Amino acid sequence: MLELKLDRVSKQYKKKIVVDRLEFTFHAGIYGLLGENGAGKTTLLRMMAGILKPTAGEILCGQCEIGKLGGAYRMKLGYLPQKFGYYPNFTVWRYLEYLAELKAVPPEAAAGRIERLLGETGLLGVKSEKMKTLSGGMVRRLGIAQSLLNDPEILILDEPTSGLDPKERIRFRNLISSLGKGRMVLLSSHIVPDIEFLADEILMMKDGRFVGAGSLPEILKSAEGKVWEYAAEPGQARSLSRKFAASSLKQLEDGTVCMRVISEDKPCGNAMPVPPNLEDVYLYRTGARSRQDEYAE
Amino acid sequence: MRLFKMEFYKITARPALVASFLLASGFFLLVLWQEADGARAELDGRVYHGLEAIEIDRRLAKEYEGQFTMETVEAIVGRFGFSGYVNGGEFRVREGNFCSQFVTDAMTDFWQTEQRPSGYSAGEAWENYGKKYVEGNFQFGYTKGWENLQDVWYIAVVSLHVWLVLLAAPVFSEEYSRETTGILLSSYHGKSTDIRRKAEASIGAGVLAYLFLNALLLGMTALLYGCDGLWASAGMMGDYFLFAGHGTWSVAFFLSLQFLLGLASVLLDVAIALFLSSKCSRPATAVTAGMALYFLPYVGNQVLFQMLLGLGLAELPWGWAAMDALRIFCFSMPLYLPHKGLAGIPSRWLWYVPFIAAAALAASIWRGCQNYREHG
Repeated sequence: MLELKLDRVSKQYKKKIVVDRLEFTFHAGIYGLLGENGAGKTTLLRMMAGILKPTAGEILCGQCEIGKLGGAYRMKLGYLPQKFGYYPNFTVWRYLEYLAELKAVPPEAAAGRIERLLGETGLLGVKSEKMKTLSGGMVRRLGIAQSLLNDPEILILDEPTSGLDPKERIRFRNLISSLGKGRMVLLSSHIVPDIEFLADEILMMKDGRFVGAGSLPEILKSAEGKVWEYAAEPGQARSLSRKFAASSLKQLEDGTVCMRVISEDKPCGNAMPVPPNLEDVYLYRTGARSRQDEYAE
Repeated sequence: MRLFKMEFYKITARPALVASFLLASGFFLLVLWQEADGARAELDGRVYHGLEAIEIDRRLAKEYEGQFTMETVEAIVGRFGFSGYVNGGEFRVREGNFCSQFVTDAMTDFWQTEQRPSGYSAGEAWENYGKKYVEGNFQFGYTKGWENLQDVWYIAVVSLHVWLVLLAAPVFSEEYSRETTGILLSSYHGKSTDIRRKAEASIGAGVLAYLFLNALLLGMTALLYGCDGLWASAGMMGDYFLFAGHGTWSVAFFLSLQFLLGLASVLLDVAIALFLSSKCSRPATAVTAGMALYFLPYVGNQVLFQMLLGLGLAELPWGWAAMDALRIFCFSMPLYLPHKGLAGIPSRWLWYVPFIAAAALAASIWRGCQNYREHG
């Protein structure tokens, strides 16, 4: 059974700890990694892709450290980095041919696989075009295509939908959703609805640590009773939004502000508890409590 | 092989780079042609120019080909006399022909007086200069073409080195600047085979360019001047060969040696450029560093060495050793390896040069590949 284990994995740059003693075991399925900028998501994914070495701890694939496995591990891996570079003067076909060779795809199988992947990502029509002529969405789709060239067991996608318009994002989500069968997919994103839609299991990250892990129902349950909605006067709304993390602030026609805030306790008299969504949980896990404490001080 | 071809394509599929190489090669061919076109020879009161002059010189030199003795000298002087300048002014033209010019340069004080001499050097001047040509196994032959090739060849090789820095500097640094390393280094071959192929493709491109350039220049020289004089002594091409003790090496041997040293300099140049490429996050930085490092030995040899000499470093117990070490290092670098002046450096230094060059080559390639592999 496919298994990837984080065994107290840390990454430190001089005095800054970017990833802090992470422990987790991945199996087949889609994992969503959610966290703010600077949480350590990209660093973690780069370590899992074998590009960065952990400062401490190990990443184990089937009980063996991935650095020692070397090419045998990278053979199972498909990776789409957050910043996806390419060669502007390469044609789409030549680019995929080059990467297929790097990924040790047998030459006799490469052409067929490239053709299929271009078809699945809607890029067949531009296979002879130079990459510099492609739109941002097309480049991103090409990134997905290249990550699948070697039919990987482990697929790591770092912010795959970043910068895409809604139509492209939906297309991507549907494509990624179909990839999860029999494969381990690690997907990091800022876009909460994408994680909500795709992930079988969600990992929340803050300051290099996991601050929550579980399926969507489990994650949502962890913030039950912490999410409140109420209508406030504008002045009160300003004061309360400084004290509590607000996942929604909506100006109503009568001038009041409908607030949805995260709080351990009832924030004010007329507040009503509401079922949390993933965005609420994200705020709860990554900032709401500390904000209350700061305000109290 | 497929990966090698792909990496080779990546490195060489730059129209501007290829065009500049072809343009530069064409330029050096033109220079050779111009040199030949400017040839002048006098025989029996008649003046010949260009290829006709070359033919006359070749024919005359053939008559005196072989061991160079006083009899040869007297026969040439007796038939053609000594050679001075036809006119004064900035663009002076030599009188006579190849044979009379060589004898005048080797056997008289012409280079000191710049006047047509009336006789051979005497006394100490003779002992130090002219006598050296006739006392050993010095072979006379027509070497004008090879002499001209020497000068053009070195400039061409320096230009090639500059071009090679432009070729090799982006190999790793462009992957950094384009942010392609994430995908490349996470692929099966990305951290092993592909790195080797990148290095091989760079070196392969450099070697091919070098061979092509040499074939062009050699071919042009042979076309214009023929292949005479290959077995003549290298001292025919310049007296520094003679005074360094290598004057009786054949021209063919010396050219072969120079070809091999040029090849070594190409390999070292590419290796250093690859190392710098692995350290720099942008190709422009790698190119700048490559150019600076390439010309640094000139500063070391011409400027720093003189400065240290002036400061009296040589007076200190370890002073000469340090200064020797500086010059040996400079001569081991790509700029000086193919230089004909290498023939004039003390032979006790010559042993160090290949070791230092080989060590620099191996270290640059190894470290460059490691830097790229570990790039995070």
